[in-house]
Amino acid sequence: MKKTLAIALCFLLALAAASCGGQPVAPSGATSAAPGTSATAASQGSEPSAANVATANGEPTETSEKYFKYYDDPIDLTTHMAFSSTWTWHSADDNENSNGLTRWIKDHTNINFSCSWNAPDDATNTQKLDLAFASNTLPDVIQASSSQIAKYAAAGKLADMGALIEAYGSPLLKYAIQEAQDLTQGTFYLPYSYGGTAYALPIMCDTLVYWWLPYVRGDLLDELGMAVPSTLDEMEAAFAAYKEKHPDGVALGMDNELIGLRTVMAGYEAYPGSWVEKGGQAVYGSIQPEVRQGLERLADWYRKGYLDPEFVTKDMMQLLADAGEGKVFSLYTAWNVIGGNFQDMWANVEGSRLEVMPFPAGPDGKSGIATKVAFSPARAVSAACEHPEALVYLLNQYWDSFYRNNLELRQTMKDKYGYEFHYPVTEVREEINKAEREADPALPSFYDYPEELTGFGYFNDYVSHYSWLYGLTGVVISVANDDFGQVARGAKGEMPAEDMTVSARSTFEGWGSTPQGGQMLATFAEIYDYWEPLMGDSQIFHVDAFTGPTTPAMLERQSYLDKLEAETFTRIIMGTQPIEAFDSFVGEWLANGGEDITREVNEWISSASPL
Amino acid sequence: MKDNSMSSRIFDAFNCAFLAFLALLCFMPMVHVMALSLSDSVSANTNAVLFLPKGANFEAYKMVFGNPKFLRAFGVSVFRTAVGTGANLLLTILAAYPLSKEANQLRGRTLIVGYFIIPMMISGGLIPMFILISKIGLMDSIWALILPGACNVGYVIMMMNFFRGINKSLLESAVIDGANEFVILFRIVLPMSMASVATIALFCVVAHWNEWFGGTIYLNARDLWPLQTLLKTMMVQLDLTGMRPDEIARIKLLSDRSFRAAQVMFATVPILFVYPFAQKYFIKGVTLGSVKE
Amino acid sequence: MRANTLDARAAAKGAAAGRRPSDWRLYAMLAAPAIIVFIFSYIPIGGVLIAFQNYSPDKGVLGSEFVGLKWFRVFFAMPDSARIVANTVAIAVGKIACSQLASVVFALLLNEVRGAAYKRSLQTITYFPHFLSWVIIGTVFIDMLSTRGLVNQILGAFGTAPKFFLGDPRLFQPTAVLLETWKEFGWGAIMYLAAISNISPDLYEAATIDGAGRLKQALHVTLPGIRGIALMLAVLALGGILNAGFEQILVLYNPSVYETGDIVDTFIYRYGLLDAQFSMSAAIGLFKSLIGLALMLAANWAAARFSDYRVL
Repeated sequence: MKKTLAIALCFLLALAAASCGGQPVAPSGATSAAPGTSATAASQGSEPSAANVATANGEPTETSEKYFKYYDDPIDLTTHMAFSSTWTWHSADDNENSNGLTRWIKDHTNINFSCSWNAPDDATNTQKLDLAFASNTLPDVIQASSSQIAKYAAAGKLADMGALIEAYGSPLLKYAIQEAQDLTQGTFYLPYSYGGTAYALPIMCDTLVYWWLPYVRGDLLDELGMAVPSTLDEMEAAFAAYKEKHPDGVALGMDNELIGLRTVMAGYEAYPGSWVEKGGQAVYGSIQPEVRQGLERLADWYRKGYLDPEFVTKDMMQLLADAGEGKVFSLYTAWNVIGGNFQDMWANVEGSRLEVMPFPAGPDGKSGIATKVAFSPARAVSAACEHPEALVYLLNQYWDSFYRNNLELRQTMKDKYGYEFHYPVTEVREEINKAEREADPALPSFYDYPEELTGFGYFNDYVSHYSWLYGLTGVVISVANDDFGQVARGAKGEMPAEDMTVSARSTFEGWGSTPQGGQMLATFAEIYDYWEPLMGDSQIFHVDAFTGPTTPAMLERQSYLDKLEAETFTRIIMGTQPIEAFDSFVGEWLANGGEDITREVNEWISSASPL
Repeated sequence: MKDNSMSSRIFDAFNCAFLAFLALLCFMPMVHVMALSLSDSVSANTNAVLFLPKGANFEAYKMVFGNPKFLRAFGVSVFRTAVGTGANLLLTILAAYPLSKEANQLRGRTLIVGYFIIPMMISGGLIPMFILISKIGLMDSIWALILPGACNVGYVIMMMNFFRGINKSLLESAVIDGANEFVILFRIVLPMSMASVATIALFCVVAHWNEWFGGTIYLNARDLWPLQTLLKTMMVQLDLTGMRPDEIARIKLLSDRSFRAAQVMFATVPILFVYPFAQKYFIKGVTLGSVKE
Repeated sequence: MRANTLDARAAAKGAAAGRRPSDWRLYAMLAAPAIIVFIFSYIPIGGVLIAFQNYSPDKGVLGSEFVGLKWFRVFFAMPDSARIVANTVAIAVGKIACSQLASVVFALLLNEVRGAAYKRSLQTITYFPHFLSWVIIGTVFIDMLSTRGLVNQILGAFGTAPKFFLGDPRLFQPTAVLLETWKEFGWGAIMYLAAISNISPDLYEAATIDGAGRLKQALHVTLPGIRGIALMLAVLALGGILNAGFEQILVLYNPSVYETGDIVDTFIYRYGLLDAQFSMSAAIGLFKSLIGLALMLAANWAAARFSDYRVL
């Protein structure tokens, strides 16, 4: 699941990064920079402050001096990246150490930005990072998971990121971070904090990545003449009807990791695998009585044949393959499958259609959705780096440039924080190689921005994509979410493409151009409509109480306990053990290290105050 | 070995049939993999492909051959396999021959065997190796893939056993003729051991050709990557990572499964070309110059 | 290989060239391999110390805190560690025995085939499965072994009730062993075929003259001829007694068969998912190596003692 999250994350970041953000330029005011005009002319056309932009002869303004920096002597900054061999650089001579982005960075900040290594995939990237840590050769800027950050921080290898951002971060950067703090109820830095200090800045993205949800085959429901079920009992009725007509089908898809458990558990407000607050204490969700009820229900459904009798041998990919064959009536999976395996299903199964099946309400009419809202991975700076603030300067540049066209944001920043954007509002250029790209969609896009106006997101080649590879991106969450809202409205026909922001539009049109684009957009609209109101409702939305690194007791016993849990739950569901096995499981869990772990988790929670 | 009795012929018939059945059991999965590699993503992803490709497309192969690094990686693999196998064989033979002698012919033999056996079994793991490789400057060098495994003690033991089986009187007569150990090894023993040399050579070739992990760890510069490392990295959850929405259309033609299947083809087919050279040594290969007792 | 023991006895009786001092050239030959082994195997061996420490890479091997047998204790204190080791041994032994047996039988049968071209193609085809990684064929087998899959359909024709091979703990180990056998018997036979080709044809001629039929020849000429190789492979294989085939198990196992399918390597894998702990995996790795080494040496001793054949 983590991997899918990571993929979705990257996907969305790429989406966000791949195009120019912000709203279309207002026609009044000569903000359109005709080719060849100097930056001064352009800036005179935009917002009136002289402090707005660096003039053509490079004279720094108050804003740029403070939050953007050109180093007098060139400095070196190393990082690492993961770059699949199927991607292409802008030109054959480019590579990770020399391309449009690195050259731009050199010209505008005098930083020699390079990569210590370029791993072929995430797993290798992680491993090489560990090896670099082991041989004391960490790159200056790293991207890592929370357990890695904890390890490196404990060994004193990382710089204090919180302090760096405090000292050098621009108001815009801090504004974006504040949004993330609000969303995560103040726990934004927690997974990457150690001893009260924040050692890494999580990579923020829109909140779609947390959208896992149950789906149901709408066409089959029509066939049965039933509505989309919203309670557990309704689900059961639908399953029974489905199985009568399709005795060989799978009514409720389940994978061998029991991820699909969430659907049923929601109905009992049970949160297995997660830490829950009960009576002022954090307790482990899997040993709570609600879980017992959920398991009982599932065991009953297994007996009735609603689950695949052999679900235990199938992982999520196999389950999706089965769905692609048309054999699955409902299942729980990520939102971005609409761009992946569901397309296979739509192509393969005549008339198939997906609808969102809401997390069901249980016997007492309530429903609980569990998700872990934590941004991951995060980027950190090595303690050995000579210029740790260089990263923050680059981030300042990124946010400023990327969101330059968002008039609302510009106004907010000016009014509330007195921050004038460095980059002027810039007319969005069309791709000049559109024809070639139509023939080969994988080609990079070329634009023709005047040199003075280029910056992150506004480069004249594929380079904006590279920013993500170097870990130099992040979003203003509300803007990113808004974009997806526009796509959803567009899918419903409520908003014409021309009115969308550039990034939203490119997403909308891109998705529409996939082989099953129509289905994809329609289903996405439903997903968005379902999830968007929920995101703000903390009553429904359960957040894992524990987001810290592995504790000592966990090191000793967690893997055993996880195995015990998986075994017990699976056996109960499959009926090889009665539901009473759950009670002995609870006892065993506590006796075999569970109590120690619970104690340590509570210690962490009470000591870790939100930063 | 000729025996044309009735029972013999019945046995032959059953034997051939049984072996043919076994061969079929081994062949059909390969056909399935090949079919997967030539199928389109929808079919490959929805369990629809059995032994014939569905929606035949060469996308997987196009992606590999079209990758600008492909030729280079192929060349690197060939180089690494050739040189690596050569180094392996040389060191294996050099170690196996003395160890095939009796204890009284090689003083301290037991100690020497112990010296080789211990590190075969006990290893320090990836981290010390990584640190060592970087300290001696082999990082980003093809030799990081060739040297560390150049002396494989398992092969040494196998070769040693083969050498032991060689008729001692041959060696004695050579000594009497005034030959020294080098001559004996290279002029007499080796030509008689071609079956085992071919076998070990085959194992080395396969191991080198298929090895991909070392490349990801020790070679940061992609130009140095061998083919399997390159393929492995192309196979990353590539459908969505970093792909812009407009690229999805093209990527949807290719599935994870069909690409992996193509990978297997790239691992196996080249071996098919090399294999017959080795095979002739151990199928119906009669050792030359055997001596009557 | 029988020649081996005859000559050993002859040499021991002081015949011919048994008494010279060791030729310096032999040591010269050993130089290059010894150096390579020293650099790339002995120098990194210090890494095993990690197993006894709370290893922290910044402190390095020399600076990390020494904790003795802590990680071994942690592993053995886990309630399921005995089970895990038992599973590993059972599966590993099963695989070694079954694969070797299948390879030998296959080599013998193949040897009886007359046509050279047919023989070669048979042999080539049977090594194909060795190249298929479990990741790619795992799903094929999961499908084939499902209760409605091919294997159960065939069994059904014989009137057997369908079996859930990969979901029933009692069936998991034999299934894993048989699948591995299928995958490796062709490749494993290569060593035996090489050994068979080394058998002097004179021995066969002598046997024919003595009136032995094909079966007798196979039993009394071919089989003894490969006995040495078989012993050698067995001894070497025992060194890997605690490697029960990680990739295969990982692809095929699931929570309902953990009790018989969880092996040492899958345990380490799951443990590593939690938090890549260098020390724990080093400790388990060392544990596996020591057991394997001990077994290998014991088997070597037993082979020498009881069958007069020295492997090492």
